Amino acid sequence: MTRLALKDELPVRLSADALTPERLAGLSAAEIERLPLAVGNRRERVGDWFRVRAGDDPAAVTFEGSCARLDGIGAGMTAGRIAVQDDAGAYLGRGMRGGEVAVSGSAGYGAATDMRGGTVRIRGNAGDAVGGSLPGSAAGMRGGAVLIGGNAGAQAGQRLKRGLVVVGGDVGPACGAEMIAGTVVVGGAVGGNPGVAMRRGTIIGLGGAALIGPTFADCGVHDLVIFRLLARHLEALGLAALASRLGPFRRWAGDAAVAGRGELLVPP
Amino acid sequence: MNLNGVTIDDTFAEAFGMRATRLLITADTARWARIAAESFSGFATSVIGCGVEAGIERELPEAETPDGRPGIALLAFAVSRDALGKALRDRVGQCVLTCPGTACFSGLAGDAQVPLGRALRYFGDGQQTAKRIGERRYWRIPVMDGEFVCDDQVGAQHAVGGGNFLILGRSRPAVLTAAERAIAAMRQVPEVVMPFPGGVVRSGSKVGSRYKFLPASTNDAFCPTLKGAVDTALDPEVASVLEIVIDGLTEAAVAKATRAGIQAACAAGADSGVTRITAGNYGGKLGKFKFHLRELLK
Repeated sequence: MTRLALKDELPVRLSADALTPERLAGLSAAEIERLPLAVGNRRERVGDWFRVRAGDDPAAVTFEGSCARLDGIGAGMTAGRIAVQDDAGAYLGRGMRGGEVAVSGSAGYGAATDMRGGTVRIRGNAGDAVGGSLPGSAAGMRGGAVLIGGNAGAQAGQRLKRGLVVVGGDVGPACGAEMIAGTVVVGGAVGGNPGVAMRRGTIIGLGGAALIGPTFADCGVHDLVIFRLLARHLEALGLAALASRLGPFRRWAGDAAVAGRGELLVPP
Repeated sequence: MNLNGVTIDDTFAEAFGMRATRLLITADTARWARIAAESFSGFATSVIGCGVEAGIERELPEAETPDGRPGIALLAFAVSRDALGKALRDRVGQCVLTCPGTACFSGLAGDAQVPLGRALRYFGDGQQTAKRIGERRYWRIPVMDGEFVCDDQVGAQHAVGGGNFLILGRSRPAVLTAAERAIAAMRQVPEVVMPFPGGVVRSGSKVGSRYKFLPASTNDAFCPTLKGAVDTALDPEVASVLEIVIDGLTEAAVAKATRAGIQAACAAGADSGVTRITAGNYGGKLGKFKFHLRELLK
């Protein structure tokens, strides 16, 4: 395991794009410390900011210290494991295609943006637009799973196209806005206007949802096989408590302002 | 060679390469899962006349099904992947989708995929939705009791069809009893089905007929009522013959089931009225697999 310990609290935002397991594999601690690191428009070195200890397991990287200003941890990674022992900055796991990122604290804005595969686990809270899209992109997250223990901000799963977003706590407004497909499971309450302009996909609000838009149609209470399949999947991801709460649900179909084949599921 | 006084012919069963899949049919109760599976496999005895051969492999407890409901594992065999796909579309569409509370899943990883939900989804008339959960893609088709859920595709693999043996005896009850005993033993073997009614065939066939339109006809050499009139394969005391046809996912599974079936058929010995066990083949020219009876029983 390669350990990257922050020397001091970061005074500026840094990009950790280059510090993925596949890029660090096979490098000695000294070689890693010599890697370039972009700090604003300056070109510095990893060793200027981190104490590096290279370990035996090249597939694992651990960030130590508060990384709330360290952005893009795990961005673009395809395999391996990253552990963040405190908070993580913005765009955690951006464009990630495989592997696993686990954050012990909370993550900033845009976690799992444009994610394609792999798993992101955040024990604390996540900022706005988790699983969302890059600016100008037609679609957000396209695969993988984001599992958040705490709360998430606004627009969780915005333009989500494929994959699973699980939030143990509450989510802010416009959860699943412009969703194309995929699944969002919220253990707590869902903020106002969930699923606005969603075309397909599923938003489950186990703690209920506020301000369901008039373009969603109440389709009654149902206990469906698909809930069982999803529950089994959540159990396999280690979320048995959440899985046990799936179904029956009141099904709201929408958003009729667009294709209208999405669904918002809340307790009856 | 004889087994408990029953003669085992020095011959072999000739079997063919096929494409197979395993479906897991679930429902709210085991009874309704079985009804759906029996409907699916009710007219699936021979690829010649039915396009597919199918049967129930075993009942599945709730812990073994994808949705945690009781289910049935069903095996289906066809001559090609395309034929299997067509059979699944027709049979799942007519016998499972229609059956209250059911869902249908792939029970085989396989080396190829055959369309299921992607062929059936149009029944949803635009209201169907796909749902990817983990690595699997399901189709949700609205129906009058809720939703029919099935896998987008099911796995298929190369398999063995047409393994067989024949039980010959002095009376119809004696041979039928032996056949029933054989089927009960063979149903304990995984990865095989015996696709004929109750697992037993009385109308063994030969290739061809005197009619141009009929590719297979009664196996007159084994018909006891024709013993004196045709070139018979029967001893004078034989009054009844029943065949058991075996389809399996692997050659080993068919061999194991054949062995179990013959041993069970002969278990009561020659005194029960069973006189001989033989097998059907085409001289070894048509089938890829040969199951020599005496070697299986060594």
